[in-house]
Amino acid sequence: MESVLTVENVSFSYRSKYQTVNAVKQADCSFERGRAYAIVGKSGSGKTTLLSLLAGLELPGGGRILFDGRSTKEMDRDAYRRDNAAVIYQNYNLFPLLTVMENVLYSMKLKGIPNKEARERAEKELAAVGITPDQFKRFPPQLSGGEQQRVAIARALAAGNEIILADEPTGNLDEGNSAQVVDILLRLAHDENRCVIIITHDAEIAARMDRVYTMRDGILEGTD
Amino acid sequence: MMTMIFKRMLRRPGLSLAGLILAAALCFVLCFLVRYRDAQAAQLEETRKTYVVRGVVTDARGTKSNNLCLNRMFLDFVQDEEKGLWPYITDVRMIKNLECESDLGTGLAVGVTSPETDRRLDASLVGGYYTDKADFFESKDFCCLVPEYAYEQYRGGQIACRLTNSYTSAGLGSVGDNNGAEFKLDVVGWYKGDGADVILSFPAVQRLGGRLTNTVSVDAISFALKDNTQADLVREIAAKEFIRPDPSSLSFRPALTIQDRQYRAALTELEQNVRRTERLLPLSAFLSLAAGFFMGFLSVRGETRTYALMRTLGVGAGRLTAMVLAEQLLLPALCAAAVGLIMGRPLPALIYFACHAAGCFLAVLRPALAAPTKLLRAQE
Repeated sequence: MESVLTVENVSFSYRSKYQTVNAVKQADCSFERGRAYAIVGKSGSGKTTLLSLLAGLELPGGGRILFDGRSTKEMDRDAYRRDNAAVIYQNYNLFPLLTVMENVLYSMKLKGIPNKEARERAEKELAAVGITPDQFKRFPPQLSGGEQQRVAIARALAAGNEIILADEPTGNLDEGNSAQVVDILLRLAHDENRCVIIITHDAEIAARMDRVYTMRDGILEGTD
Repeated sequence: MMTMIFKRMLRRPGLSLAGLILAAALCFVLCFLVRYRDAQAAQLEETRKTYVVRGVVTDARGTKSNNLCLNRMFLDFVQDEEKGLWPYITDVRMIKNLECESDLGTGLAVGVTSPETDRRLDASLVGGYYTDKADFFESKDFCCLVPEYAYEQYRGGQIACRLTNSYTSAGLGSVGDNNGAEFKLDVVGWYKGDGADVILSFPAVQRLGGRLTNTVSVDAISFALKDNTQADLVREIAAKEFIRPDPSSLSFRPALTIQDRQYRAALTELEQNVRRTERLLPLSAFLSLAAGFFMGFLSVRGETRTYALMRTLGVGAGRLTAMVLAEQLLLPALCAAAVGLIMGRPLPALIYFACHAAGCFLAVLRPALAAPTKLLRAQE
């Protein structure tokens, strides 16, 4: 399988109010298309920071992250997030003033996809994650947590990005909804040849992934 | 993307409306103050330019302004272009009366310099006149206006009068031959009024007076100041010949009153208003502009999470800035344009808008330039 993301000797630190925090001390790994990965670890171990680095939201202090051989330092990271890497958050991060449909359309409009095509794709992806048409015109606060998370996933899917980065996507969901969301993410990896990277605390979810990385005090360790 | 912006605005109508009203109110305050200051300053300037301050020659006590029997010296002083009042005054109105006996009865032959000199001629004082002689008031010809009731009788003809110059030098008795003489005056028009007076031009009466007694005199003088700011200078110059009116005075010298009290009062009030507004304006402007700035700043700050989210979805810093400014400045721009146009003061409205925009711009720098993850974390 070809590697879509490669992490080479990456480290990252940031200055908090009182001290410099070495959030990621050492990370070396690679992620392939068609596979689902889990990054597990204790709170504060640097998982979310690593995800931000993978999403191009931050730049590594040392080492480099390569997307299809190109360093995130040298590429247009806005375009990278828009076209290649979609991020799903624990707290959904939907636009509260836009309807479900408009939230999904938003990322496609950013890419300049024509209205008609965007709407068809949005309807398809929303249906794929179990959102019914009568919910399309609802606003995010009118949906349950599980439904909002599925809309967030639909938004990531509809944009057609090949890397899906999910930061504790099931953190706010009950067991049933969690299972549904994980099923969808696994389907994305295995059926649609996307690279799915999930950060989770849940050992059961991690066990369902193709590969699990563990962050320990800023150091990434991998297990198959 | 623009439709998304409009949708977001329409879906929070309360907030949009409140922002609109507040922006309009602040903009209005600024435009209103500037307009008020300008209006006061314009009124002040207008008053300075157009207010007519008149000077009136009276007796020493200031109680009488007609039949003063002023000798040539005073007339010359008023008309002296070098040492007299002439360079500083305009619209000089003078009256010279001769006693007149005619078929109309015993009255006066009144010589006037202009229609405004005698209320019977002045249309603004319910008077009026008609004459077929275009240069009547400047002419030295022996022609007159008779009362309206007598005009039909004398129209196109003459009226015989016995004129007497009653001018006496102050306290010194009669000057010249004071027995009077017969004259025939051409009737060239009428004036509103009854009685036995006939009205002539001032030069004509002076000529008649000269023929009667070989003297020149004047019974009433008033004038307007060319420049209202020169009232004190005119007083100073006038002091060479005229005294200040004093109700207890027994002097025979005439007095000059410059009637500028109301003018000064009006001017003082307007100047105070302008000063007060000019003191208030910087403070109010500062408050309005600061409020506009913070309104812009806080409205963008309140949306930081949304903007950070847009950044994570791949909206670039430049595009985000443009979108945020379009979203946040559309309503204030409409407001400022409307208020500026309605109030006729586009500049203060533009300055207000610029401050609002500066607030928005400063606030958008954070979501545009900071790492979105930091902002999202901070918002959580």
